[in-house]
Amino acid sequence: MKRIRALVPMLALVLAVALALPAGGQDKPRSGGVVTWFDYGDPGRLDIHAESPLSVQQATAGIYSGLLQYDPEDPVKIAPDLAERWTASPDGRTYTFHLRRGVKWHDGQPFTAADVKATFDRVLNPGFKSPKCGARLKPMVASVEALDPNTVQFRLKAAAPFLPSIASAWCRIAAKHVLDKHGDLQKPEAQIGTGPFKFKRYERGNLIEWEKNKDYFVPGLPYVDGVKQFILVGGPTQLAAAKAGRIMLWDTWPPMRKTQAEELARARGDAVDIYQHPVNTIWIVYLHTQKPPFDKPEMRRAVNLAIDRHELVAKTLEGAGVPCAILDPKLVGDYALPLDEVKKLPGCRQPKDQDVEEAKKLVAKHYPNGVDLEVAVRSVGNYLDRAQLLLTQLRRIGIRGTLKSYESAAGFAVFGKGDFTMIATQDRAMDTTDPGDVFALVYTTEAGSNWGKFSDPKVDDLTDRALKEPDRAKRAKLYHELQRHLLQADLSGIPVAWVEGYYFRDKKLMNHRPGWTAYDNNTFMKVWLKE
Amino acid sequence: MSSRYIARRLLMFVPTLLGASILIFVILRLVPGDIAEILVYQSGGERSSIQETQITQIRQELGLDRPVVVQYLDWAAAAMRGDFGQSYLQRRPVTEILKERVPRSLELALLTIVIAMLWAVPLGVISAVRQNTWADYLVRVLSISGLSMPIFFTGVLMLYLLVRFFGWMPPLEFVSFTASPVENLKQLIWPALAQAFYISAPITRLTRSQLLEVIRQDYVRTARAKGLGEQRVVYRHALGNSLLPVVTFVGWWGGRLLGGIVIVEIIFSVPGMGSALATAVSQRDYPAVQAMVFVMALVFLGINLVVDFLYAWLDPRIRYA
Repeated sequence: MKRIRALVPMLALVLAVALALPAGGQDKPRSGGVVTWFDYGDPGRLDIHAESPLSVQQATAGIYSGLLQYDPEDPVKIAPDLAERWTASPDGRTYTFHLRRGVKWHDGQPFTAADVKATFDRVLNPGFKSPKCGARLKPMVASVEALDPNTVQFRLKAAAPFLPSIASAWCRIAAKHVLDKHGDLQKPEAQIGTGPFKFKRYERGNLIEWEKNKDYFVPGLPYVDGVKQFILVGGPTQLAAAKAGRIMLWDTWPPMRKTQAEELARARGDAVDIYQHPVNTIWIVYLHTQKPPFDKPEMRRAVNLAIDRHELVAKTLEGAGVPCAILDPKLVGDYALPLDEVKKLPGCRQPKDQDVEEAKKLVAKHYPNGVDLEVAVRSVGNYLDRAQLLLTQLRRIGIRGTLKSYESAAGFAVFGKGDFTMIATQDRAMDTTDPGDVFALVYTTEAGSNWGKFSDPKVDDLTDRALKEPDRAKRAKLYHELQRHLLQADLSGIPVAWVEGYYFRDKKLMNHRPGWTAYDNNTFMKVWLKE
Repeated sequence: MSSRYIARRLLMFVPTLLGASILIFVILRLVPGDIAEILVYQSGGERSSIQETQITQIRQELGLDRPVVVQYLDWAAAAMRGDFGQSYLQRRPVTEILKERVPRSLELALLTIVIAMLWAVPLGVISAVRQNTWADYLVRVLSISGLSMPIFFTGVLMLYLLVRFFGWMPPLEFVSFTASPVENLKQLIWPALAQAFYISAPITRLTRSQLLEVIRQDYVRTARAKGLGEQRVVYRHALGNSLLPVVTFVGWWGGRLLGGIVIVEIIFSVPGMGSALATAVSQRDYPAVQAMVFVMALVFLGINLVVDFLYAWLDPRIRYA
């Protein structure tokens, strides 16, 4: 125990140094070497447009390019990729992209605007299931036209934050001739991109390997000769690989826990940088608004008041999280309500005594003898631990929950069908850093993950207005109003915390900067190895 | 061994395999959530008419909208031709997956049995011939430890100790035995050891108890009375007869090993049938799961059949039973 305590300051120092000094900013890049890291699951199918697991995006990230991308050296900024420049019409409804010339696909065919059109025609096709890129763009885009071989124009249905979606790691450009030949992008042989790496090998269940694209359109890049992603499914195997130096980076899901980070720090010492970083993921407790007892708004309010987010974050996330917030200031800056304000609101304020007393009264009003219910949870990560603690908190106010756990994929099917009363914990990851993501994903009537069937016209209206508002200050004001409203509404999706985690990178891995979503900045385009 | 005995055993093999295949098929469909729902809801979507249409379309494409009996008959007919269908998850023929994965898992299972036998039988002999000495106690403690520790615990512990004390772990990149036997063994020896530790415990105990029984029999006493050395008595006369139940047990375990291999393959990152099965089950990849479990059942029944023949050959009394 003493040894662990003694390591805490060391770990803190390592974190501080890691965050203060971006890896490799001051050295001259050198070429060569192979980066090793891991994919947490075997992707199986590889179609970036048709799939949604991170394992698929990660497996193909370096193979493709987008029209735009999040800048590898400054992941907050949107930067050119296959489009060297772009213009927007004054009404914000027409975007014109001017493409790079002379770009070639990995099989030597020339890249043209026809490929861009084929890609977006595919993802925007109403009959094509595209859970990431298509789901984001279908509500926004009216049409896509190739004006000439090097120019593409998008017409939007209304002004919207379109560029973050186009820069999303899921909206990568596929080759028309490959789509024509294979019909989809599921198989390894269909992985023909314009990205910095070529798809070399997929040893299912074991390894995904990329090799340097010597004809990459940015001269001199990439620096490394290749990337190997080992498919490591088990947590102990992932940690052992990090400790034994078999992997150079932990920048995927799930992040390390603090105790794992401490164990790694003991094993590797100065050889690694360990850092805490947001996962751009919000932890939600869902209540079904059309099923008893949560069809009564006061019962939802009682749960909101009773949940002690600070305790949940401290005990189940080992402190790595931002409790209570609907928007995390670290991720969206001043679009988020100041945390000082959030912390004073009912449900979040400390100590909890007043909120718990009020919650007890609300439950007693409807259920004088308390209420028993079944609580759904997917048995992944530490969800069961989180759920147990949550149930303990709810027991204090007379809600006696019994856990019903579902295996990962089956759980999503149950949630999607609405076959639950309460979901104890479910993280929802954002696809971009746009502040509108969380509202469109969880809180509006039509939100994709509005599993509890929450509907509030004011929320829909504010979300829509904020999405279309071009003026940044006005948009921030709208989001503040929306957050204040939601934090005091009788929600079905109760925000517990924005989840953070611990990651590491080997010190010989230079110029790596973690993206602001789990999906960004994993192309290794500008990463180089010191030795 | 009479041909009648062989024929009867072979005839029993067929309905057993058929029963296993029906069981696999039905149980898999009783698990909540099918592939269509999983594919549609995996990104966390909510039920809507679009989702429902997509689910219906996928079920039609995969033939899941037909009655289960029809699905089974189609599957069984194709399986008899060696066609296990297309994997929903990997979008390629399941036979390709089997060809790729089964040899790796069989190699691991074989390695496990060899290590377990090389280790467990001599320990059992020592324990029996030195009954109630410190050596016997030590072997029994080791056996109890092996039996009490689940394979996942032994595997993780082994991985932890390797990294903790040697800063090393088995290679993560799989290399086939034909490409490089040394690299292949560097990876496979550890999961094999973890499993062998577990299954060697009952083998040791069984060898010990059988040998203790045999060395008290008259013919062993006669051998000793003839002036034969102890080693010759034990290894030449007693051990062979003690190993009959051990052979049965190892056969039985050989089949079970393929099922238990799921855990060690995941821990040691071996891309065999076990790890593929785990992924396929979680995604309700029916054709892949059915084929893999069917192969496991086939191997299990096949080994048992061989063991039965072997047993009948070793012990002439069996054929009349």
